[in-house]
Amino acid sequence: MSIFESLLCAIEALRANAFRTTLTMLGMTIGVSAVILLTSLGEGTKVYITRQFYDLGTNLIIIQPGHTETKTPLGPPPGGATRKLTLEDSRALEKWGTLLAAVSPITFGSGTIERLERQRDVTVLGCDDRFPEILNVSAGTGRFISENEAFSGRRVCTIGETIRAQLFGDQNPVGEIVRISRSEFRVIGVMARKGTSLGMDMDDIIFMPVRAYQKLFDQSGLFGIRAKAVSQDALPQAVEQCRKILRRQHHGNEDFTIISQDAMMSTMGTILDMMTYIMAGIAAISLLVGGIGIMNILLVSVAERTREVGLRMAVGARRTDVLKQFLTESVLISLIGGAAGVAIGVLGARSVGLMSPKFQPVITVGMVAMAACFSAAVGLTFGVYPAWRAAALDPIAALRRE
Amino acid sequence: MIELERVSKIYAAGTKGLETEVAALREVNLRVETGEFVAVTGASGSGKSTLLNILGCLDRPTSGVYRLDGEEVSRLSDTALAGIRNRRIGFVFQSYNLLPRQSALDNVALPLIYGGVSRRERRRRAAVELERVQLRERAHHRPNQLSGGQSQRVAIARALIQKPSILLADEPTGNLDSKTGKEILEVFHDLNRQTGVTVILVTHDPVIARTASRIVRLADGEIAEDLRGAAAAAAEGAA
Repeated sequence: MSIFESLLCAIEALRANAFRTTLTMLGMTIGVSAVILLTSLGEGTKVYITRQFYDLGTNLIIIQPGHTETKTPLGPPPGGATRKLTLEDSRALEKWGTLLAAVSPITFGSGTIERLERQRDVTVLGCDDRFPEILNVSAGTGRFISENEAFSGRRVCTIGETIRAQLFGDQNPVGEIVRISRSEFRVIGVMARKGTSLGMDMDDIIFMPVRAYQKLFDQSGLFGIRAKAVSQDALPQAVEQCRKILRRQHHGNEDFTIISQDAMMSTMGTILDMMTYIMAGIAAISLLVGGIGIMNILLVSVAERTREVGLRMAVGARRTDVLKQFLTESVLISLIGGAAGVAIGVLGARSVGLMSPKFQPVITVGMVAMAACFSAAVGLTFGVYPAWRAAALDPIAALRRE
Repeated sequence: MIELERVSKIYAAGTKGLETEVAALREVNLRVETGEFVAVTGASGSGKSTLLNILGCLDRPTSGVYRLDGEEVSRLSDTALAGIRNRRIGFVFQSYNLLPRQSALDNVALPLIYGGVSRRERRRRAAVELERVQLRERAHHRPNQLSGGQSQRVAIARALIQKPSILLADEPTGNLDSKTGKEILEVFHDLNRQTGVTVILVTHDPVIARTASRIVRLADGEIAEDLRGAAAAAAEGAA
């Protein structure tokens, strides 16, 4: 009996019980569509987060004070710093770091900004003139802090778009005076709109010279240093270079932590992949349930068609022919159900994409191929036992069955 | 030509621990020449069905030798037996055993699927066989649209499609009224005369048995009587 004949037989048998067949297929459809939808959401999340991450600049090197064996994807856990990073460290990196395109010291905290009657709690960030280059931001009107201002500590600031809108309304803020944590600062520019990146509203930040920040809040150390490698290929060597320079600065102690953006990204990627796998795994359980449904219906079908099997054997069907016939039915159910599942999964993912312009689920050919293979495998696996039962029937007993 | 030599079939019966062996056939010797028309009779439990199953290669003897056209088939594999059933043996059952969802034509063509014949050729040959049993115009009817007699004719056409050397019929008129039964019996006789196919017909009806050229009566798994020609025609209540 050729595959084609088995297929015709199977189609006929499935059509004879169209309603039952459809219900059985539904199990596979739901399972496959759930797997497709969830993996596409997982992949989409990964793409979304990656994009947000690289939105904050590329080839980024993050240097934080303190060294610990305990690492989190976003740097060392806070606290436990033995020696602070200083402006001198930052300058040394700038001077000796041949693989670094830019270096900026960073101080970071919260403060208040006041103008006339209006007051607002904001994030205050001290940095130098290289910061925009590293973190992929720029001044929209006016200008950013200059190198001279950064280290002389002049009380100037470039404010985020949200702060401008809240404090100045329609007025041009450039040249105006504001009070930041009770000291007067002159606004020299407004940042171009950036939006929220990794949960931080980039438009609600005041940028000021790092020295001005240190004086304002009476601090000598830095929150950290941010640098940018000359290229992605040079990133690992750039990290090593930073380590060497800073060790020399710190008399041979490695009391700081250097993380490259790529390393962070791969940690993050691993976590996100894991999440996708877990979701797909949970969805795959429903495929298992679908497979059991197929097996159940096939067992019923074998019982119902015992006489037919006996007759087919009497007129010359070999056991392998009977096996093939029922296996074909099982695979057909799971493949058609699976194909419908792929269609529904893809449609579902598309409609999620349509509803949220910023977040796009990602469907890959590999995913669809895997779903198809998986459903065929489920059909084969769960079809084997019923098909074997049918093939093992004794033709004499089968023919006698009422 | 069929040759059975000391063929026995023994079943294990009873519950676990108390198994007993039941002999359905005991050392049966039987020789049927090509073209014979044999009626097998006997009370229920006499071994008729077992004999028919062994002759039809649906079952193997426990001991003894079964030669079909000179080839020993008693020890062949399941797959080889399936091939023999497909090409050399035609079955006709009391309850027709037609596939309910398929047309008369497809039912007749069924054995050809397992003979590896193309779809087109199957249809052509099935149409020829239906013609032979005068059901050409019913080719596209489903079994539930056919009368009992018509269904049995379809079943006969199916049994004949591979041009087997033996036609085995198990109470083929058992589900039919006497007039239709007679017609079906006539079909068997016509086939036997025209094509020379060996017919072995199991029946408990003495009237039917007497139309055969030979009557084999079984009792307790053994051949109790083997009557030929005039003796068969004159046989009394066979069962």
